[in-house]
Amino acid sequence: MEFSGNPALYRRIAIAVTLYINGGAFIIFALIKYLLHGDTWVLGWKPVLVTLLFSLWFGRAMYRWMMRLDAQYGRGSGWVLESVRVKLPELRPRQPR
Amino acid sequence: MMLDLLRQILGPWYLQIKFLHVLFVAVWIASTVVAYTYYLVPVFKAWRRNPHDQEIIALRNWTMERFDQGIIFEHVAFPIIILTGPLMYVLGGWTTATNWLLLKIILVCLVAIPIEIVDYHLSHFRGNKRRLREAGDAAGYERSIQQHWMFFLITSPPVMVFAVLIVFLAITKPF
Repeated sequence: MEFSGNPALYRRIAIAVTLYINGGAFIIFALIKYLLHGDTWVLGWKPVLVTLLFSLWFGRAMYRWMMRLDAQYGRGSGWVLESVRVKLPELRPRQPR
Repeated sequence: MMLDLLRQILGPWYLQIKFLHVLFVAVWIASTVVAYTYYLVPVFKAWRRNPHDQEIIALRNWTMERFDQGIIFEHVAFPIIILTGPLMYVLGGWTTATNWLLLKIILVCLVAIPIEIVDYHLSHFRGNKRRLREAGDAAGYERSIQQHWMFFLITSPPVMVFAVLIVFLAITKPF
């Protein structure tokens, strides 16, 4: 069974997660402030600009983070992979009382 | 009426409830950091570079099963946070007029709660690896391992960024 992860998928996921979190948080925050308190400052240029810049940074960082985490960058030469036989401890299954 | 009663009974304990909240936030954030960084990630990276190496697969599976067990600390802490957070909101007389708190609550609802629901499923319920292995479901076991790795890939960046942001908002109360 091959793992389905690949760079194109990670790019789509990074974009979707960025829109979901940053867009979602901004819209919900703005709606609550407007509907419950009558505040409209959230829609001013500063909050919008901060959200946009943060979203751009986060989307790019998330994609690169996923690629690095999934070993898509680099050759792994920082790690030595030597074959070693070891016993891996396992939990004893619980006996029913 | 109900909230007034709650305030009357638990109001004097606000700081003790806050102590529990902060303590379990620390457990929630940090309890798996070492296992994740120095055991899980190196083994999974080795597997992604050598996907058919049986020795790496054996170690990957063992590490994943230990992680399923080790994450119990985090998953005990989370419900306590989810209980004490709203309790503090009610007892402290907080409202959505407090901007940092509103943003913090929104981030918890959008990021932390959905992630933890999936994490509970993958670690303890139908995705629990030990249970699948003991049931002899080899295909289900491999599928669950791969789903869990995909889960880590997707959630690691938002968790690291937004968990820190949530704590930052709570401590600095910037706006």
